[in-house]
Formats: sequence, C-alpha cells, structure tokens
Amino acid sequence: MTDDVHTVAPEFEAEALPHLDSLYRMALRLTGESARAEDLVQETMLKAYRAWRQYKPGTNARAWLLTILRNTFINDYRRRKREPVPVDLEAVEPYAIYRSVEQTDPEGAFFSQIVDAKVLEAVDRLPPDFRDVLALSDMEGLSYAEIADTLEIPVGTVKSRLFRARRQLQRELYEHAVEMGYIQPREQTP
Amino acid sequence: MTSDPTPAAPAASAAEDDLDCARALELLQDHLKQATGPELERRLRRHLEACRPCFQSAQFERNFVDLIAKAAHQCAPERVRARVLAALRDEPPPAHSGGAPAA
Repeated sequence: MTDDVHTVAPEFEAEALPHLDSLYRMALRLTGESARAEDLVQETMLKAYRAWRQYKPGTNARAWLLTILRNTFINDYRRRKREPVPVDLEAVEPYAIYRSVEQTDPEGAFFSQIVDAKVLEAVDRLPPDFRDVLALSDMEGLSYAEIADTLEIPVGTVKSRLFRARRQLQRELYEHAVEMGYIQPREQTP
Repeated sequence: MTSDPTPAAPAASAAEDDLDCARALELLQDHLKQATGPELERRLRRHLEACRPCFQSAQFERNFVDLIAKAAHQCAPERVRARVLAALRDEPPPAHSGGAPAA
C-alpha cells in the first residue's frame, strides 16, 4: 500500500503547512546544519500529520508544531550531535551593554547596521538553553506560556533565560558593531 | 520619610508617574512581550513619557528585538516544502478530529 498517493488533508494544509518556515528556522538553530534541519522538519511534519487529531483547533498551531519539533530533536537527533559543553547558566553575567552606548547611541541605532547573517551566527553561539528560549520568543513570536509548554520549564525560568539570552546577545552584537566601526567603543575611564 | 529616594515631582506629567526607574526597567521585558497587564502597562507608559533615560532604554530594547525579528525572516528552501508534501501524500489522511474512533 506504500505506493498509494493520497490527497493531503486540507485542514492540515491550511493550518500546519504555513508554519514550515518557522519549523525550518528552529530546526536550523537546533541542528546547526541545513541537511539535518530538512530531515528534522520532514519528520516533524509527518509526526504532526499522524497526530493531527490531537491538535486542538483554535490553539496556536505553530507552538504545537514547534513542540513536536523540539521533542523529535531531543529524542532522535541530539544524541548524534556533540552538544557544546553546558555552561552554568546562573554564572552568565547579565551585563547591560546599554551602559556602554548610553552616551553615544542611547537608542541603539547601531543595531540596524548589523547584517542578518551576523545576528544568526551570534544566536547560534548562545548556550542552547538560552538560544532556544530566545529563538522561540524573539524569532517565532511565542508567548511566555507557549515557550514554557514547549520547553517544559516554568514561566519564571523562561523569563530569566530570555533576559540573560538578550543581554548576552546584545554584548556579542555590540562587540561586532565596534569591530566593524558601526559604533565607537566607549572611552576607557582611567 | 528620609529614606524616600524619589525626588519631588517637578512637572505635572511626572506627578502622575508613580514608577521608579529600576521598576520600569524591570518591566521592559514584559512590555516587549506584551505581557505586562493593562494597569502596569499604563503606569509604565506614563513613566516612559516622563523619563528620558528610561524612554531611551526602551527604544534600545525595541531596536534590538526588531533586529532579531528581521534576521529571523529566513524561509525554508522550496525543496523542503516539496519533500514534506511528497511525504505527506504517502500517508493515509489522518482521521477527522470530530469523528469518533471505531470501537
């Protein structure tokens, strides 16, 4: 029966397929390479299709799909990839880069000069626990509660990780902007 | 009352501003996630109107979040869509969510 070709269920096509780009982006963040990201997206869509009855219409289909994607990644993919050494998340300094630019560029206009590829590289260098929260929040637009459900962590943890992820990313992007000459470094006070 | 860190309000607009800067900065993340709640959101907006440094901080965070959102506009390659559709066509259609499963 494997040769049978069926029509894709229209509800699935209408509600799930529009989130393909979102799934692909998150898969890229998780796997770090496009070939494995493509496999992960395909597997996620197949699982979602088989489990389509469990999707509650009216809820956020994107959050539901991203949850399946992440669980699939954890179960089937993570083992195959060497993850970076976990960092002590509490030890990451929530240093405010805002303090470095408040005299020269207080509204952070320099951000707009940074090219997308550099932003994505910097996101991918974040510790995975930070990266996942930041990507789900600031790239895929999930709410605190949806991120908490997807990652199976408390909302308070989502908030503190997002705070620290943003601070760390701001520092990286600031250093890049200084290097590129988009912004003058803060003068060292003696 | 000697420990009150809030200076006397100099202007009419600031008189209605009852948030201090530390609290306002704390609320910025929730504000950007649209998770502040209406009452706190009103108080935060009043503070941002009255306090230039906090207004600039908010602008800084907004520019940063906009940058991330813009960088995220990556699309899946067309072949991914094609692969997924081909895989789905090999599957029997899922049962309708309203239909009762056969006993």
